[in-house]
Amino acid sequence: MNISLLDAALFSAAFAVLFLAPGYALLRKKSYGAPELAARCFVVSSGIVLLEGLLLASTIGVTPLSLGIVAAATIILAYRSATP
Amino acid sequence: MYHTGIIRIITETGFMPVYDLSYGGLTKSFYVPSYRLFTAAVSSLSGTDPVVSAGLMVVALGVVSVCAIYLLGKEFGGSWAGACAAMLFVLSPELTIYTIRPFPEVLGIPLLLLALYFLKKNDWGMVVLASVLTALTHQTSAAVLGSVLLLYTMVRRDKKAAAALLSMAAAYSLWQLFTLNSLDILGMRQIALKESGAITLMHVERIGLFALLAAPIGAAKAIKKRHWLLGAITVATLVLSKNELLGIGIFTDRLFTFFALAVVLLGGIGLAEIGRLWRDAK
Repeated sequence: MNISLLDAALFSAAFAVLFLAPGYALLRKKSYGAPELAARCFVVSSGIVLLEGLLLASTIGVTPLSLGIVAAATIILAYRSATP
Repeated sequence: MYHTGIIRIITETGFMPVYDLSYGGLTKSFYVPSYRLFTAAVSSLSGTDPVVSAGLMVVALGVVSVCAIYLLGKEFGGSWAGACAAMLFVLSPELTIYTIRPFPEVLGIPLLLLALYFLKKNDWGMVVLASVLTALTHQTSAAVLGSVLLLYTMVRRDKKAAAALLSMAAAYSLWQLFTLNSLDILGMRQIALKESGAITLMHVERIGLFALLAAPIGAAKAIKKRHWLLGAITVATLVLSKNELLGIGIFTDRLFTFFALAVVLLGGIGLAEIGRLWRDAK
């Protein structure tokens, strides 16, 4: 299996957007240590990704566009709900 | 590579197939969806090939696993115990064998560890969420987590553990009703075929020499400190990995990997204790 630097960079960006960003947006007001914050972001974001995946794959299909829109909307909503 | 094959089908069609590729593609999919959906999602969003994404997912989730074992070890024996457990985790061939392949284990193991971590932190919401995710990620990890939660609930009458156990049972039942139209887990191919491998001395050695040597010291410390959750993890994983003695005889070699996790945690506490004694003696 050949993995290019571009593959790795694109994967890392998608992983961060899907698996860490929604959790971070939700939890950013809390004062957790870095490893604990990362763990919480991972679990919360994983829950959101699963929900997205189940909804999309059973209705309109998992496509880059549908995922991007739902991921962006999730992050914006989470960020806004965390902002006083 | 059948998991990656399904991931490719999801990325190409957008939908999860009803029938699986394993067992000749003739059986309805009895696998839970999370790992495949997660990898397909990253593959779709980044545009990387599913095979490449599955490979990189192993690396990313391996990092999360190390972080998770550090956090859980820290809860039981402090920062040094967490760091030592993380080191033993990385050094253990038994654990690296099962965390270098693009299989659902790579996501099931960190989620299981994080569920136990949040249980130790008394965080209701997170323990329930992580348990439900584990149930929908990997059946073997879910069986281990469910057994630990059951044992801990019975011994400590812990409501969080009971709530997590009920939540994961409900989530798994709903998924199986949706895919197989049945709650009969004994009819699943892997269980019906009694897929299993005998545990030999080689499996024990694969846990890692340092972990095996330090684990008794860690166990003594854990008993002294009355770490009930760690006790439940150790007992539940040991019983599960020797389930042929209960007349079950399914997945013993795969379940042994989770006993290796318990030994690594005990070994981490043991190494940290050795370090403390050495510092005190100086």
